[in-house]
Amino acid sequence: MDRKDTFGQNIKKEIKNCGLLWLMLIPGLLVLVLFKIAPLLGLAISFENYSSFKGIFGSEFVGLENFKTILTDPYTWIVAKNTILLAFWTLVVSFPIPIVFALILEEVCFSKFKKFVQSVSFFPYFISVAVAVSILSSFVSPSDGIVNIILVKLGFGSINFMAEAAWFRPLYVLLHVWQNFGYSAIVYIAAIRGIDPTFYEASQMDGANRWQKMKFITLPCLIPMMITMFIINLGSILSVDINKVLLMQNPSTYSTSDVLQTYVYRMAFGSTGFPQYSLGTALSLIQSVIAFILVIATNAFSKKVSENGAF
Amino acid sequence: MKKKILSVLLCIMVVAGSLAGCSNNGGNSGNSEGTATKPAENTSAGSAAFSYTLPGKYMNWLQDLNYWEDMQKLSGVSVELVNGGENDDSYYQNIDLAVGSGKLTDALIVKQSQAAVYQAQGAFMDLKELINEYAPNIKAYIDANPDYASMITSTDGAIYGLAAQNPLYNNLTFYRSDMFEAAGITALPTTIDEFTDVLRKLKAYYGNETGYYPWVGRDSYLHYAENFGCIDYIDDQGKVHGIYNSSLGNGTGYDIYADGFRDMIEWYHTLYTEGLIDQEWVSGTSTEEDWQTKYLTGKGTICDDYFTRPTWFMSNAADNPDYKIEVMDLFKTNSGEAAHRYQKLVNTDRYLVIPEGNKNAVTVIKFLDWLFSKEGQEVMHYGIDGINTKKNADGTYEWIADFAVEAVKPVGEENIGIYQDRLTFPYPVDNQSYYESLDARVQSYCIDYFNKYSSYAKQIVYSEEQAEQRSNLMAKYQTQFNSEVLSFVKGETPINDDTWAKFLGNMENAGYSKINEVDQAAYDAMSK
Repeated sequence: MDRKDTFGQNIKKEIKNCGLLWLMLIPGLLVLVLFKIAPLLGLAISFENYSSFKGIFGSEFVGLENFKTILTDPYTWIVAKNTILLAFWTLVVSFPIPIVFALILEEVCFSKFKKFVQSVSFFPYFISVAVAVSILSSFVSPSDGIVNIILVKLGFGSINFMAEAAWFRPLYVLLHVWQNFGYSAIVYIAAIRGIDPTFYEASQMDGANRWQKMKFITLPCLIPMMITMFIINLGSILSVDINKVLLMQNPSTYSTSDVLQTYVYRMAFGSTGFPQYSLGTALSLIQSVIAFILVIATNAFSKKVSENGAF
Repeated sequence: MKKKILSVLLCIMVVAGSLAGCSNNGGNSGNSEGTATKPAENTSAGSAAFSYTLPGKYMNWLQDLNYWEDMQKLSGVSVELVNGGENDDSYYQNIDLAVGSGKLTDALIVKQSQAAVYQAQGAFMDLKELINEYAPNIKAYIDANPDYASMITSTDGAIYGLAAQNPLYNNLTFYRSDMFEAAGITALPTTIDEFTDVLRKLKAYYGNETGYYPWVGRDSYLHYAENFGCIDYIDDQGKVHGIYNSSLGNGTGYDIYADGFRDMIEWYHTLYTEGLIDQEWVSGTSTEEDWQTKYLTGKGTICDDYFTRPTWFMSNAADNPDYKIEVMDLFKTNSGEAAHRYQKLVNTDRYLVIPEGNKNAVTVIKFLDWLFSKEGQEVMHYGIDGINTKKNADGTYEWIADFAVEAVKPVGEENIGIYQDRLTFPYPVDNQSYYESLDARVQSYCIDYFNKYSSYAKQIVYSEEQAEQRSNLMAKYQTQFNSEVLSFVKGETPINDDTWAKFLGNMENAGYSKINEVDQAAYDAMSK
């Protein structure tokens, strides 16, 4: 009883002292609960033969049938391999580029030029995927694309890049890097600017040159941020950009461009069949569980090795 | 204190704003998502009215139809049109959401699979009783047309919707006659071999330097399967051959075990390697705009495409007085037999359904019955006497409006619309009136062509389980088929006995025979 009173008193005290802050927190909490947490209940349809008409509570419960359908289908593993390879190369190539870009940009002394370059690198992020793919197609067009014009001038033959399965992954990664490196670099630029200037002053007095300052001060100070960003990126490793893939995909590139998302999209919204939302949800759940395990494992590993982690 | 009050008010406003989007009063009460138009303002249309959801572009067509108001007056029913989505994919997804939310209009267009499944689940009405009681014209039509009846009736006898019908038309092969003349080609090809020779002559004359290909096109490139005898079909004994798709040439309906299928792929390989067919089109990297540009600018001479396309190209090349397009006959098979192309009678993407328990169901069915009546069909086929057509004393019709003028009118401008309204309501198709409504140029070649080479194919509808199974199988089969066939055509995989056997094995693993079994089972169930 005493404890309850104490708890009640604490609440009252909290409301009296920080009531306004709690009130300000309510909108954010509501958005979190309504739009992030509550929709998770929809995952239940992955265990059902879902019908829009019958709803979540009226649809037939099928247990793990949808998961079994996905996991026992040999084609799933073909597209899973494509998905992982695409995500792997995207991560491997696109992760270090913003760091290198931020490091180089921060070494530029002419501030107007620095701002200009940063702004220009930032713009592609706001271009829609459809436009970005169109730009890429124009650049690599076999008939009048600038890339092929240069190749022909250099004595090489023209290549229909968009119709070569082997070129799908490099082009996808290239487009991803072009669209995102400027935006991703902002985080690192902010982190670099947050480094205590006394570190640099001390190294200056010790006679360090710019390379040594970058190597022994900037980079080590960026490691916690790099780890955090790496773990965040790892969380979305299986989530390739389906819009980009669909726009770049054609029958010539199916062997490398058919990924889990496109496969399930065809199964779920096949033109001849009835929509199968349950299959799509089951696959999303599998992807989320794998991503969650990866994030937790990487975070634990990072903490063990470098004493840094995202959480 | 003032600051504190202001802060509290601000927080309340933010909370209220956050929740505003959760209100369910945002849409049309009782309607599916979308924008609605007013029903006919003239009250002479009668007090009966219903709301009708359909894809946006068809709604625009109806609104632009110059007898839309008259149709409502004559039928005595006002129709409130509701835009359910601008493109087909989003439209059908919106319908799923609307079915889930229970906010449906009095009538709506859905896919056959949605009609059958949702009716069985209780979302849509079984129309059988309504038709028996209130729609004598529809009943008479269904009784007289068992093929149509089988496409709208479930295995337990329920009528789950009324389907729109397609006029009889196909793709046809057309060519730039001015380019033929310049290249010295005087005789039109009548077989695939002769066609190949013509392509070679054109290539030799126009060269390759400017990106010229004799044969250009869009979408799937595997045409002329009918000439190689590897088309999907259902024989007289009811056996389904190939992956059945009613032979619409969209890359799914082929019998890969037919002798001619390998010949066809080898032929395409020849065309590809010799540059006789647009390589970007075959590779899947060419868009419809690319195709149009090529054909308008002389980078292509021959197309096998939609039958009104010659008129479209001629209209868009009006500044080139030499630009001439003619149509060639469908090639014979290499053994000298006549080939044939097929069309679906029932449009499986256009089923009109009525939600279960709808209070305006009788009004909807009476309006549809009027469309099936003699008066309604006259209006749907020939428009209004004195506006679209003039009815002669002998019962024939004379068209007043010119298709060539009407067809290019922009959205929002009133037009005769005969050629478009077939996608808006279900009613019996009349090919003669459809052909007559087209411009003289199209009529000059299409009527004879379709009479000689076109037929309606047998159609299959699937149960919910079959549709699900087929959809899952097609999701991998189609991709693997397209990918491996293309690899042969481009020469990435050589065509020999070993690689062909491997290809057939891969197609089996991808589900070829299983899909065929589903098709067979569905057809057998319909034929009982």
